[in-house]
Amino acid sequence: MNKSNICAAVEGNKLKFNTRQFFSKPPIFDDILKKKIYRFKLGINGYVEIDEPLIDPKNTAIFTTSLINKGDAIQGGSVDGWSTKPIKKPTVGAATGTHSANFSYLKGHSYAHVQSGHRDHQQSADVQSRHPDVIEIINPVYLQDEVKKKT
Amino acid sequence: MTTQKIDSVSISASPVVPEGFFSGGNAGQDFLVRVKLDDQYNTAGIFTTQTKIFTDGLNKYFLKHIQDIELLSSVIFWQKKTIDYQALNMAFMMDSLSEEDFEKEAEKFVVRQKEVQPALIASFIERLDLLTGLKLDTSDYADYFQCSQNNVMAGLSLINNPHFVAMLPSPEKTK
Repeated sequence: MNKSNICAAVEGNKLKFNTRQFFSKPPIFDDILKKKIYRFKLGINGYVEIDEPLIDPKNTAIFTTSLINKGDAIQGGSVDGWSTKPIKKPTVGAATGTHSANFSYLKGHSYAHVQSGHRDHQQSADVQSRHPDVIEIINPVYLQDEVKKKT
Repeated sequence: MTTQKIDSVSISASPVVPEGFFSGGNAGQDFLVRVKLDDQYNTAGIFTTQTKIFTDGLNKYFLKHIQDIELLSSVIFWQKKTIDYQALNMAFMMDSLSEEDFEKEAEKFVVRQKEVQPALIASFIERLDLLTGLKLDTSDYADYFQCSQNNVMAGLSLINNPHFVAMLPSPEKTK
């Protein structure tokens, strides 16, 4: 299990999350997946964990910088991301001894990344060790479409 | 200079048309005349200004404020759209709307991301910060501009302000 509390990203087929502040944002059409994605932001404190990995993640994850294994998780002050299916109603439960939080799931191909300070993300040992110069690297699998567009 | 007694107050005034006013340089010009009363000395000063200078200044003022109003107006529309979507999402979360109906309704809010000129992003962020002091994050700006967060960061990199610089990757860490 690979766990990161610095600004890393997770990608999976089902992600579980908890947060104290949930914002939904209007959906966008994703040009890579070629479908509508439902965006969200978790405020104050957000935790997202891969509950079900993608099938063949090396060939289906959009970003090669994403953590992709079951149990991989991220945690941060502000987390943003999306899922390909509408996000269900969170349930409120105890997150710590003193705080309660909203618990829910992101279903379908989903992505979450800690955004509070892109610099932290850039500088995190986790990301730096793999890709020192960029925040997100698109999986080459999806670049075929880009190549087609240019030719 | 002439002095008149009006309502028991002594008013002094300079000539409305000074010497040389009708010289060649002023031919064909349009002037505004302004009267300024001074309570302390009970005097009145009469001034002339070229109308063009006055209107140019006024137009510049309006233009600046129209741009600000347009910017703030666009932020209001963006927020209104977000609130409308969140209300729709809330209806779905509260089980007032089926998943199928929600997906159908959500279609109305779908946009495609586009590439935005970094200079435009920088100018907007700086102005909004000056006008409202609101500190948004990169995903919020990306949402407003309907662009990627990397695109937003390209704009942020043009701003010389510690708050926005802190939102960027450290220069020594980037190639």
